Amino acid sequence: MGIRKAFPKVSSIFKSLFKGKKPFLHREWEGKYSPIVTRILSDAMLFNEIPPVSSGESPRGEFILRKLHEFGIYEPYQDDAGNIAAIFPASRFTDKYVLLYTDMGTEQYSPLENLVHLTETHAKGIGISDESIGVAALLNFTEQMQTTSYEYPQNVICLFTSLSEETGEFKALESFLKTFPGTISFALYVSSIHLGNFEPQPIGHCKLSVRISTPEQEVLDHSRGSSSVTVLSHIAFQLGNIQWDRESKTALNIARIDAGIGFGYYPNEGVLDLEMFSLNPAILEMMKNTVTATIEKIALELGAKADIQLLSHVPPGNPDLNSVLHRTLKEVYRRLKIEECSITLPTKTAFLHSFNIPAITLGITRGKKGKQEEYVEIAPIEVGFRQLHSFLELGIEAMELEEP
Amino acid sequence: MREGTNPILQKTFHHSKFSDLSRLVELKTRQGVRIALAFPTLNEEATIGKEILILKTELMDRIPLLDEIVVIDSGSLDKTRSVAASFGAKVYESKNILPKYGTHRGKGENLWKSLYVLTGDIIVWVDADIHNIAPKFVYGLVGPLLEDPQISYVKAFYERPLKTPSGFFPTGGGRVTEILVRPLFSLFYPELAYLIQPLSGEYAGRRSLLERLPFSVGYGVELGHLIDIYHLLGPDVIAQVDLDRRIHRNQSVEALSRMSFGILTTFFHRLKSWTDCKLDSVLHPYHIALQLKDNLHQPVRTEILPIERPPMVEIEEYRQKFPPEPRTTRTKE
Repeated sequence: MGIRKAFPKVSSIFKSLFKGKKPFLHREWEGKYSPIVTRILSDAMLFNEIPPVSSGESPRGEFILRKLHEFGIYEPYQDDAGNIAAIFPASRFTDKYVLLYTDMGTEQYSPLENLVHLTETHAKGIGISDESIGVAALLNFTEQMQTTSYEYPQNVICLFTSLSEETGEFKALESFLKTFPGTISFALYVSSIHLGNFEPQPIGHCKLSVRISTPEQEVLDHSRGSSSVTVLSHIAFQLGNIQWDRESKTALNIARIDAGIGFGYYPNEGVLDLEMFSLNPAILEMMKNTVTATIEKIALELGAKADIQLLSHVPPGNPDLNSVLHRTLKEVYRRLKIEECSITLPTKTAFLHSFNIPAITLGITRGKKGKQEEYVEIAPIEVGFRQLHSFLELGIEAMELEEP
Repeated sequence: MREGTNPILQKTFHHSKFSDLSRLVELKTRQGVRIALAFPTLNEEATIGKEILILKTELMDRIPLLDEIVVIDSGSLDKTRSVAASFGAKVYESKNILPKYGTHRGKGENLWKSLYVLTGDIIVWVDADIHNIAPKFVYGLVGPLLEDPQISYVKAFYERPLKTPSGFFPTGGGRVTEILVRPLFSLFYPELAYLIQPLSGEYAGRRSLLERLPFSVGYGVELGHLIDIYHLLGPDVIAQVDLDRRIHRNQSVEALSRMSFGILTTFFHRLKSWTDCKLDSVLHPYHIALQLKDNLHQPVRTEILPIERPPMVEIEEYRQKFPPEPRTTRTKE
């Protein structure tokens, strides 16, 4: 399906809701939190409890479409890759676009654990710190753009895409970028947590999933080689001891080891997911080759079969490409009194650099993702949301000033 | 009665029938009615915040379907009241409402008192222990009342998976309904046996009807309503709506036994009030359970008194606040 640029109509309900009222960021409200915070939380919790994208159906996409329809956006952009977007025209004629994008997918889902629990200060539940707050923030940004008819000097795209490894990381985004006819001047990835994060250079990454299988045998019979647990342990130990560079700009992370089904059973199958990060494209390539060769060698020595699947390979971003955005970000943080924390995180912006599009990540709040506990803080959501507007305002101006 | 001709079955809907919220708001505006939502609570800090936030945001702030959200609390010892207030609900302690009439602990007491503080012509009650709250829990119940003036009372039904530490079990839940209430209804009120979940904690009604009903203060409030409505107006005014799935805290068998005791007590009192059935013996007020301690069965006696609140319309303060004449539902042409 081609791109259908939407010039949406404002629904009568929302016209009546906001008629004669100040924008809802400034309205008085009952309770501790402003309407924009409660709206983001409400959307995030409802979204978080929807099962993620699976083959043949996309209930999360349906949620986004229903919401856009409620906002009065009746014909959003949709494509076969699963992307959904609302496009808002600029205040003047231009073929330039700013892309705000977020991820609808998730790696983990449990109908029990994804139910969010709300305290006075935190929202807790599996998935809430992944992308649910980011999706909800972008939805509410879309709602504001639609209901206030506000226009930025450049066209604005609000894109809901799927960056999940299961559906092919970045495939949907790649499809969008390859078919989009306009010029994207910069992109903002709207993320749930890491508010205040400053990312000097988008890290490149390479993700592998390794499936190990060993011959089936009885518990006491070791004649046919090692178990899958032993093989995976060997691989993890071997890879963990390699020093990849001297500048600490490269790392290997064993994301998951899963093997064995419990007492009394001989483990003959297992999975190891690992990811490599680097700020140097040559080292990243070398790592990928070394890791693959190491796994194959160990598997061969221990009588196992290794099936290595490359999930994604994104080279590191170009720090020069982001220089204007970095200056803008620091100014936004200063104006909104957002505390800056310069940490290097694997983000979803390096991929945009391969299309020569400047891109950074904006986190909406702070939070934690752990195996035992996952939560987001409620109070910072308001300022986290405001930074979207501030960044667009300052970023478009700064990018245009830089142009020859 | 032939299958399918039961009036309740004929008024059985799925919530999606009422998902066009702008249409519901239009009906509400045309009819000139106010819609109020109340949560009866006792130690519900784990779920009340989320319920209020989602329903207030989606059905008050975004779409003006609800006019007020109120919490009536029975004296929670946890943070229920402060959590509810922080997400924008009006919070009342049950004992402070109509204090002249005393206070009793029980869900029915909170529902009865909510009639005095709420201002709505249509009142929705939702339990405060729902983990998967969504707007459908309210618009699904309000929809039939706005669309059909003949309907005065709407009950929810849903799949009730048992939530345990190891996950969900798809069957189970509604145990008191299937073991106690459905057999009782089948014997005495077969038309009400067509209700899928007569004890569900989510229902809505018109004030003009609710103010005429006595309220059991405890577990029997839902059953009491149904029998009273049956005798006052007949089953034609009752509808039921499928809300898909409700995930909530499940109670122990011991707690369900006490609940059944309260329900049976209410049932026998209603039989006495409305029918020729006579009970020759006095109903004892103690639920007796047995607990094994040191290899001996020890009795555990729990007093469950059959306390009934009169129809709210009989309370003088209520009549002053809601004079009888203007309370009828108006339809603007």
